[in-house]
Amino acid sequence: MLKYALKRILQTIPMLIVLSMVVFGMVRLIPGDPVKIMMGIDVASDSYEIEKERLGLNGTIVEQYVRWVERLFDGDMGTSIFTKKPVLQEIGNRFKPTLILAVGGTVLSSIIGIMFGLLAAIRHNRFTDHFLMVTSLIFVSTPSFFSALILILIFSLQLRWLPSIGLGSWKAAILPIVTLGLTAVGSLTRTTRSSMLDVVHQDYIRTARARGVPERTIVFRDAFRNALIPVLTSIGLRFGSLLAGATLVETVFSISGLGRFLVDGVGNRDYPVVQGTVLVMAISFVLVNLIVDLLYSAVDPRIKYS
Amino acid sequence: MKKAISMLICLLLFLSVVTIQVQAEDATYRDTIVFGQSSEQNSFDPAVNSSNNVVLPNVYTSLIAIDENNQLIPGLATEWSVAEDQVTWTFKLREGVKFHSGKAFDADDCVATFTRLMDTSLGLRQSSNYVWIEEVYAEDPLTFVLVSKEPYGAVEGTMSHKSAGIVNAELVESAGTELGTTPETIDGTGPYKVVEINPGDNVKFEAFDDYYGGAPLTKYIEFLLIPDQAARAIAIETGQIDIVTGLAPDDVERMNTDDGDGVEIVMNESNGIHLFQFNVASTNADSAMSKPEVRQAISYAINRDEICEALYSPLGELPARSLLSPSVIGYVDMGVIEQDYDKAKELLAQAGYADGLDISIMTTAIYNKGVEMAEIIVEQLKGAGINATLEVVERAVFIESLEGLTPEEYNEKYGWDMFIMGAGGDIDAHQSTYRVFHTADTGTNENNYGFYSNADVDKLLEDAAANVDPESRVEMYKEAMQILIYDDPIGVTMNQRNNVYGLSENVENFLLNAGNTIDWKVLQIRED
Repeated sequence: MLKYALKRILQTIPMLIVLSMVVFGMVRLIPGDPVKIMMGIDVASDSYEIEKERLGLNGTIVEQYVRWVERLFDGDMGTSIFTKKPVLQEIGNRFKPTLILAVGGTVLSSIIGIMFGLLAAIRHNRFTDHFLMVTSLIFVSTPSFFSALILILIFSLQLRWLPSIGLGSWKAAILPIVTLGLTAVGSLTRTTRSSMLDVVHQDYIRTARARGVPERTIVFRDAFRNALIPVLTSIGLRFGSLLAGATLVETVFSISGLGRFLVDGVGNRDYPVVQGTVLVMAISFVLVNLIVDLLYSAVDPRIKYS
Repeated sequence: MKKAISMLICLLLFLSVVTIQVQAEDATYRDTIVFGQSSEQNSFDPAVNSSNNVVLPNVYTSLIAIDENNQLIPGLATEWSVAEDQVTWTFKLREGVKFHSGKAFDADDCVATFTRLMDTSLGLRQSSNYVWIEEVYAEDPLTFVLVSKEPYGAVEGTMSHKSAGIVNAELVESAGTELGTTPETIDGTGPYKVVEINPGDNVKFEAFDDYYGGAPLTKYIEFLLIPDQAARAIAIETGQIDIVTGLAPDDVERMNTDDGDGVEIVMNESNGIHLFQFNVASTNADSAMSKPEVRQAISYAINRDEICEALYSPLGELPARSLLSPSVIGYVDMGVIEQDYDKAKELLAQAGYADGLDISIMTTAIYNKGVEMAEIIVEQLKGAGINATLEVVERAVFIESLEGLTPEEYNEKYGWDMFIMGAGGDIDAHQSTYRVFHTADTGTNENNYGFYSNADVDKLLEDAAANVDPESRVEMYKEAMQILIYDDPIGVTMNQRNNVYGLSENVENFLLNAGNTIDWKVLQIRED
């Protein structure tokens, strides 16, 4: 298994190289000059030239790329054009809020989603099933910024129970996590339900029923464990994309996370920030997926890695 | 009996006085005030910062200060004068002033501050405002002398600017380009010191008890970055923040009328106006924009009152009465051009466009309601037979279109006849006019955005810049404005912008000047 993990990690290296090239080229393709954006349009031309050189934005794009990669090996992702701080340090500061949101949102949506999915599968084609399917459809199709505003209106503005900005206390974390959780509940409910229905119609379940195994045991021990694989994949993907930042939710709740950092970076044409953040996001996404793949064998011993 | 009643009344009166006093003593104040901001400061180095005047003047102090009535008052200099040669300025410095680090302030700090600003090889953002200085030196520890290359009319205005905030000479030496990046490299003489910077999140300030103007009344001030407009409005309404800027006109209207929400709206005229500037070098329609009559016609075809009423009335904004804001030294009220379609058509006919004219307008949403404003203008121009097409661009494109292009490059790449712009800027008319309205030596548009050139305006701006007599200077700026707005228009003036703040009703002593600087040292907030 260790060999498998190592192989997977090595496989991602060419992917990361191509990705870094694409991102590096792409941010420079969008019109806009980061130095002008930072210093203002009325900056004197000599100040402008000096700053441009200081930021390493002189020379051809290939020279700039080589310089960037060289520094990368020293653990230096460059300096943000706008905040003048090392990009790695800035990413570090913003990783914690993103992690809190990602973990919170994933845990919440997993608990509710799996519960709903199981319930819907057990009560297949009955009222509970239909009700939960409609509910999950509503959750899936509500954009996160909209549900965020509705939650803020109810719990911050009307009831005054919870704060609507920042992530300073556990109370402040509730609304953003609930927002992120709700949007994921829908798809998880549907995945769990269909996966369960698949398994329930398998021969060994029928055999178990014929042997008189209690329904509860069948559902939780025999069916659910085997139905878990697609659900796990779905959760992993969701967690990975949340690690890449929940930009809209971070903006509405004024949380300084990775997603907003990236979007602000694009707006300011802050090249080192965009390059560094995308790289970190890509790496964390790959790692999360690797962990999920390794978990498969723990859940389902039939899966072996070679 | 009568006596008893009068005694009773006396007693009641006495008691009521006592209770009032007790209540007054009861008013306690919180130790932290939280501001909600839409954007961050781009630097805490006065020589680099180009964000706004909200923060820096409370951390650094300049030789001259600006009070809430926009009058120049002594700052770190107690008095100043210019010698008969009109170039030697002597500043007497305040005694016993300390930096946040505890170091005593003296003339060497002034010398270090301005030497750094004058050094164009450092690439500092604000250096271009100090190229007129010949030399600076300390006559004695409390006398600072500044010599300009030529007589210069905007010395006092420049010395009050936030970029002239005095920095610690030792820090200039030790921090180098790192100055202003961390709390340790920020050392001013202002009422508050920076104690924590969390980019993308917040900045925390603590009262500087040894401030020369006395200890500030509130211990901590916190700036919270809230990029979303709706989130800022909710945050102030729920009391999570105490002072907020950048509210949407609709929110301002609601907070102004809706009683019992605990939010007050405060506004004043800012140092800025919106305008639509002409690309005088445009080659569209047989170079129509090069003809003053065409530009005048466009100006007469626009109804500024209608636009302000429709878009900016909640913010209290009215049509601008000059290319300068009323708070700027050198401002004169030039009136407002009223809409007059007949006159516009007549002027167009004179210029040879009796059958109508096609023009293109660029706008961007980075100016408040900039897109809506351009849409109304397009409609209004139709009444004069002018058919305008609109192009809406994002911030980066807007900035890129002003990056030192020649007229040929500009027309080839963009080809706009009119574009949205801000004006009215700084404390002195010189800074707000010369750079942007004087003919560009380079022939490119990094400063003179619309390739405008008028020999009379050039002469007036040059003379006013070298004039140290305030009264005759104002006359020169008035003449220049007459040409720039009416005779050979550089653009169409739109609304005079306001600074708009939402305050918790518990906030006291909120003093705001037109430069958008709040006096933090007297600011207080009552406990609920």
